[in-house]
Amino acid sequence: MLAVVRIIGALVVCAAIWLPNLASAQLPVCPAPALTEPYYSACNVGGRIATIRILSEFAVDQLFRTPTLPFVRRPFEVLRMFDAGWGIGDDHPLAGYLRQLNPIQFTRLDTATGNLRWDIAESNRSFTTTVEVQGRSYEVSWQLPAQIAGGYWRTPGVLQMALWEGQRPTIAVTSPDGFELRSEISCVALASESVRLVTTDTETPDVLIGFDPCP
Amino acid sequence: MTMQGRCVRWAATALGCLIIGCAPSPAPVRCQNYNMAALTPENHFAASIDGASLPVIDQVPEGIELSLSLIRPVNVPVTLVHIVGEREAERWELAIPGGDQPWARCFISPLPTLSTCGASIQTPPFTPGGYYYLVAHQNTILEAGLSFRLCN
Repeated sequence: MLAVVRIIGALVVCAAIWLPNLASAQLPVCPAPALTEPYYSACNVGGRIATIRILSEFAVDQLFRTPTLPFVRRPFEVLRMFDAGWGIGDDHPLAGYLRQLNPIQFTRLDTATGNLRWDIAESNRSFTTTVEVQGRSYEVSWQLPAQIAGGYWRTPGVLQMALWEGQRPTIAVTSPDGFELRSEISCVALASESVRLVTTDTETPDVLIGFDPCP
Repeated sequence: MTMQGRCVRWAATALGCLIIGCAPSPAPVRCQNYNMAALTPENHFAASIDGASLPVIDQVPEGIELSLSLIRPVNVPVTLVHIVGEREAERWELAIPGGDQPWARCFISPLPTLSTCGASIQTPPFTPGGYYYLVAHQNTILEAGLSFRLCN
């Protein structure tokens, strides 16, 4: 009996500690950028319009849908939004691959936060394609776990997705010179002015893709 | 740096370039947006921001960005207040631009001509840290996001 009382007491204490933290949890989940740190930077013409649309549609789902029901985003539809800037047509192998993927499920916790879950069928857990960039042919591949999952934080101007350890994608690139290299992504920050990919390895600079106006 | 470290750096470069093409050498970027807080009904549209590690806002194109989800029409300005310690440091009356979208963005710059909602930073250099709260007045504001554009 005493043990039960102790457990209940412990739960009450935990709730008292946890609830105020929850109330003040409207804070970013990706590490803050740093002006002094180097980035692999790039620019995507037209990305701003696509991300503003993504963020505004996300806000509608987050604010107005039944809170307990997840809402989904289909990877192929996201690609279509960026199509003008990325130049990947319907006949590209990547488009066919993305059509096969399950939708990403988002479940709201409160106005600013939620969880995401993306179940990956075994047949889709790896993918390799070739992309031509400035006359050079790069092989891009990625390995996905059975489930990508994490928490997200958002405002009308940003969507940050932090992925749990062991449930992150690993992306690899093979150069025309034959090197094969890998990087795990721990956080994705999609904002109206840029996309930032946070790499797990602290020695690896993050990737920052800015939107127009491009230099 | 190890060979593996160099390879991973190269991979990240190539990844970024694959998407759209870029300069492959990692380097600091001049300006970054620091998304700092969501102002929501749960926190009564108020948040404290630790600005200890943030530089001051004093040059173009630095500034404060407030993104809003709202229900139109927006008939009167919304108010954003910045408190430092126990003192009200600045108060901005933001005239939300017209339109039919359920969202709006206000950029508050030290330079009035760059400010988009009719209010600018009055006393640069501006220290971003402090307590912020949003007053909707008669408007229906659903949520807001507060970020700083900071530059080297």
